[in-house]
Amino acid sequence: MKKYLPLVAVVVFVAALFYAQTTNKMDAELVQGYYRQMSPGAVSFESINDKVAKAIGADGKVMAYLGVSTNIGYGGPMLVGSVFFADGAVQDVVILEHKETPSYIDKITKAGYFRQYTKKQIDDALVLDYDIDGVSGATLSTRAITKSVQDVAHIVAAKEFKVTPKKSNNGVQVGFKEIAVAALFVLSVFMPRIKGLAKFRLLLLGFSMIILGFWLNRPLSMGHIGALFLGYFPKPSENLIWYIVITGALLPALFTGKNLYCTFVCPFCSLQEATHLISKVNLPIGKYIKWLRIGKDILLFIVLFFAFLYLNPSIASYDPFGTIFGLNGSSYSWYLLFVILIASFFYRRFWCVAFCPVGTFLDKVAGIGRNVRGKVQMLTSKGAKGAVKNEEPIS
Amino acid sequence: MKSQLVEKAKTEHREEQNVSGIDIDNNQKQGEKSSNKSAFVFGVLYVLTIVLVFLVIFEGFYR
Repeated sequence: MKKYLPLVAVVVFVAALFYAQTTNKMDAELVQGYYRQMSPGAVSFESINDKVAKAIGADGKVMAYLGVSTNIGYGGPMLVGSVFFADGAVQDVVILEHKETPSYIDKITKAGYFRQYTKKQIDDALVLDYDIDGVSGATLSTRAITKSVQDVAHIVAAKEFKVTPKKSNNGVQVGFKEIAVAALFVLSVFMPRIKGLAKFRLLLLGFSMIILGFWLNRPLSMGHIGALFLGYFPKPSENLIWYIVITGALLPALFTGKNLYCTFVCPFCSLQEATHLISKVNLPIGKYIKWLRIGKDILLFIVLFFAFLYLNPSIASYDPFGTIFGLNGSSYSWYLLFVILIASFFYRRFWCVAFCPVGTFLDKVAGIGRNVRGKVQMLTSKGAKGAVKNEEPIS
Repeated sequence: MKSQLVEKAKTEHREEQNVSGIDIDNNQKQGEKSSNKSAFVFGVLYVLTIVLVFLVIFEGFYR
């Protein structure tokens, strides 16, 4: 029975995904409802396409252009509405639906992100870090909003104003950030293989805590893993670090059969190692370790199940990485972080041992890697024996 | 005389063994006690953390 559990889990995930896909479609009536919400003075709406329209006033003239667009933020899809004056200037940008942590949205609003749109025109490039400034610590959310505004603006520009929108010069950005993150992962692969390098593990973890943690706030999270399964891939030109982190964690686990990310790169592991170094205490957990593994499997199942059911990679994500490294989180997240850090003074890597869904997932990937390698080795050794047997009569 | 000395040595050796036997038992019991205590504290922290984990999860649904 036990060996069929992974299969049952996969079937449940697929069923949840199928259910979500069939029930979460945005219908035309809903879009019309959003149009009315964004332009309450309009008498009617004349469609330009299924998500962009002209708002017609009481005098029969176009009073605004408006539309909705969905792009992937930090927590999942964000539905953003954009309204433009009849002359093509941006009138309003509204977040209609989102799965982000509310404190991120507050941060964006307080930082004056939305105000900068009042100076923009429909044919501007509208690209983050080109003619739109992002908000530090909420890059993914602001990128999703900017892209949504651009989607609607450029459709209106091309179809109604017959102008070609300006283009940004931003290609794939490989800067110091990307190189630093890639270096962490490359070192994590070579460190256990080169004699004498393994002793610098804590140093690498320390760098990771600074770079991947406090500086960039991009540790591997269930958001990454859920997005991978749901196909929410960001553009490499806009978010190359996402690809470096996910491939840097998954590929070595798959090919070496070892979970190198948790041991050498995870910034939260680094934080717990730091608390352990301070206390130098590691109390025994007792004979309950196997139950902890089952508990972690159940938690991983819960997180993935709800991600599939709600088509939202991080809806049930509870990891405290964003709270500590982005200094952003709800009150419960802060309490959780506090308890984990206190516990990790007495029980080494308390979070990793008992709760981390990311580590559990990577362990499973590494397990698959080991199984595949074992089978390949068995087949090749059988093949070699067969070849030897076949050769015997000849000799 | 020789047999008395041998007997005395045997008795001392037995006593030493007994003493060390008691020490081992004591150490084992103390070790088990402290291990049980730390497992109990771990259990308390685990329950507290899991409650907070579920609060964070449920909070996610009401964002």
